[in-house]
Amino acid sequence: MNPNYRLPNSQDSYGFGFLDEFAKREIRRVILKAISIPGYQTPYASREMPMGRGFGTGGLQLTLSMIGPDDTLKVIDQGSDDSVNAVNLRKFAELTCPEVSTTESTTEASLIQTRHRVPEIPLRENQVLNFQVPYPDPLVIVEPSEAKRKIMHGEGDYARLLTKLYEDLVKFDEITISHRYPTRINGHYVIDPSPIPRYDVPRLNQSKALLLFGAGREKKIYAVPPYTNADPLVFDDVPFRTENFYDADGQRRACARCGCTDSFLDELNLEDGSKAWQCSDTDYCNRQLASTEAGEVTQ
Amino acid sequence: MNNPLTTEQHDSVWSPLYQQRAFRALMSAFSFPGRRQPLPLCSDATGPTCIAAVLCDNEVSLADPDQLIQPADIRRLGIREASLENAGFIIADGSRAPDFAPALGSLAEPEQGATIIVRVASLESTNDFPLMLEGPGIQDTQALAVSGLNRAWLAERARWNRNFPMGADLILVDDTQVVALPRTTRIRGGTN
Ligand SMILES: [Zn+2]
Repeated sequence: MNPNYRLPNSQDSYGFGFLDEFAKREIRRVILKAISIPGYQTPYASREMPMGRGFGTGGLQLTLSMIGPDDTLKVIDQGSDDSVNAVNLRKFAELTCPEVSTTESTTEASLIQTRHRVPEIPLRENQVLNFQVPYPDPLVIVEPSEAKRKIMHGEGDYARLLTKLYEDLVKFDEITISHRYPTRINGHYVIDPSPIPRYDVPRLNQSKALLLFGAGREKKIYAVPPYTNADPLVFDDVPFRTENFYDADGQRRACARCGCTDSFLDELNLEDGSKAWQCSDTDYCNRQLASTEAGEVTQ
Repeated sequence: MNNPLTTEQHDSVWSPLYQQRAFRALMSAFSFPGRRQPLPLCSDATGPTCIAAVLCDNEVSLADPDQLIQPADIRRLGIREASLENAGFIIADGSRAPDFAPALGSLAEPEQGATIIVRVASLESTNDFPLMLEGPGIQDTQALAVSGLNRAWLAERARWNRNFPMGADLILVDDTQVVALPRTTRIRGGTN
């Protein structure tokens, strides 16, 4: 999205939240059906947004269809509030939703729009997490026909997907999928949870907050309701493993900035050729840093 | 056509702000089945019409066999009227046993299952024979007390929803509050 984006003159009369009320109402209907059929990719008529598809339009349409003046919005891209993409989407929301507050704090937000991460701090029942989804259908790799995929999903038939995962297992001795790990919702539909790392998959399970997924290009919305099982597809003899960030000596790496050893870390290549690791969730990192500094002052 | 106007007062069901706030109440209701959610205060409609104003317009069809929505409001919604078997939305009087077969969708398109707005006398909590609910959105079990719901609804609903993902989703509404029962909610009790 263009960082200097301005609303076109012809749309001077746009209402709150940019989308017209009919578009919002359609998305609202679809959200309720998506919650009622956990994990089902519910089709909707994605509207043209003033940015290319692939810039989070699906997630943005979810957010715009539900946001109101009582809300506090947080937008993150790979855990960061300050990346260009997150800043631009936040600016767009500020421009089109006057009265809405924005925040970088996970705990202050009522709505969180995210690309590729689940916040480190556990969410509450009165929060909603809207994911931006590039590829919604995990069956695409085994079945090209959408009509056939829809039947397979309806029947909960994932035998071919499991076979594909098993081939991976035989070849590499473990399931090598690092992102978009196929996850079964409420024992029926398997979803593509968007390109979150495996580390975040367990956070989808029995979440206190409603999790919504919007794919603008593919025109699909799906949901993981609160208190709903979300199980990564596995085989009995191979447990699901998340990234563990152990170094060669088996020590859990710490964030180079805040020192914590309990968050998802991004690997940074330093100028001298060495590597460092840092929290991908900037709000979490700032919070840890602030509490460490506060601790040092009082000592 | 149900085109909300910003000139309407915020407590009118026809204002964008009312519809946004009421939608959030509905979204919470579907997220946490069986929990009562208050609808925002409203000056010009009661329960069933409030829900219809949030969800219905000329893109969907409605059956209102008990005429629970005023004709003027039906016109304002701009909604297409349809038979009970084909309607996307059904508005029904909960005190009477349902005597229809709603759309349940198909394996490939389960979202075509109907949304049924059921008007009940009261969702205020009582201790009389509460229903016990389980399923997605419910941590362990959720109790629900309803007055004015003919118990035949529970048996019919269980029949409509026996073949997931097909099914019908219910919205119970009194004058000011709403409870959702999506197709995934399992209900025990309710007999006395
Ligand atoms: Zn850190």
